[in-house]
Amino acid sequence: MKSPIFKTVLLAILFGATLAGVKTYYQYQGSKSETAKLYQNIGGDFSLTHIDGPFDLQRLKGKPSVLYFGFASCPDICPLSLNKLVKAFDAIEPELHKRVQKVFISVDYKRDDAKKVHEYGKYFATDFISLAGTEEQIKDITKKYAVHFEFVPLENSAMKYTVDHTSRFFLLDKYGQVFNSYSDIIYDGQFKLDLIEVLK
Amino acid sequence: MKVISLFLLFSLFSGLDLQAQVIEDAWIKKPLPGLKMTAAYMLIVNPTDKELVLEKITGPDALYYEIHTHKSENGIMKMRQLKSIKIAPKSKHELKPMGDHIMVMQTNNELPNKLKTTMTLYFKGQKPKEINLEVKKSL
Repeated sequence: MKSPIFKTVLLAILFGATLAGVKTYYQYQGSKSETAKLYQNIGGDFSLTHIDGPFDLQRLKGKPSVLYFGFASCPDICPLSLNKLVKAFDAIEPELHKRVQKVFISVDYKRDDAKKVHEYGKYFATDFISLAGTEEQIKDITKKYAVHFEFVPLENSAMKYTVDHTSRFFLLDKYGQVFNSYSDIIYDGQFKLDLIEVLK
Repeated sequence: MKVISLFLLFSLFSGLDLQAQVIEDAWIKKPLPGLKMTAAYMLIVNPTDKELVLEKITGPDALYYEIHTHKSENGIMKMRQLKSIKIAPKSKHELKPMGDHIMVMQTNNELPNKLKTTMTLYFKGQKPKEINLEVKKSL
């Protein structure tokens, strides 16, 4: 027979835990609503080129996607980021690879074409969707997704120029709408929570 | 004759002192498919009392070797070329991913299949230093 004090303490702990759970739930719902507001004006349809032909947002609908903008000649940041894109799913659940589309978009319309980015993306994962575009197409999609890119001349370099660019991952839901974005998806716990949400 | 001998002796010892820099953990990323460029990294140790200045790099597996750096500003990734890298006396400088690195461009077709390659580092006022680098898969 437990003492009344024990029962009271137990009830208090249960009550506290319930309150904390409710608070966390509403905080998450609140942050989701804030995030939705933040991203309601970002994203939208685009027109790019895949190695198999023209590619637009319609082709991504039906499954969630993660988009990353970069360029193939980027020696460090882009390979590391694309590798993170693969590892992030491994860390959560390897099976997610099939359920989430991984998309690499090159902003370097001067150097990268659909064939080059396809070869590049394939190195990280065979199911990578790698896309290139014309100057007009890249300017259009980067404006819609609030991605900064800028060609910067390297005067004494054999590289001629580099491309400054936003390094950010965009999570799109199965309707092709931007759900959230992240500077890092390995260590950002929110990415995992959002992924569960968009996979519902 | 004595003057010449002394000069040669001085040059010899100066040379030994100036070659005192140490290169550790040197490696180069295996170029990604379809690309003719990659990056190399290493730790440069300067145990001397003089500043070391890395000014130039050459090698057998690419046409161009340049010193570059990465920086992130407000979420924007930027790569820039550097004229040189200075290593203060009694200190170390690490060339590493997302930081200072040797940009290797117009790589030849052999590099992706090699396990090792070499580079020659030119430090200001010193004899060229040849180093070995391991060719590693980048990821």
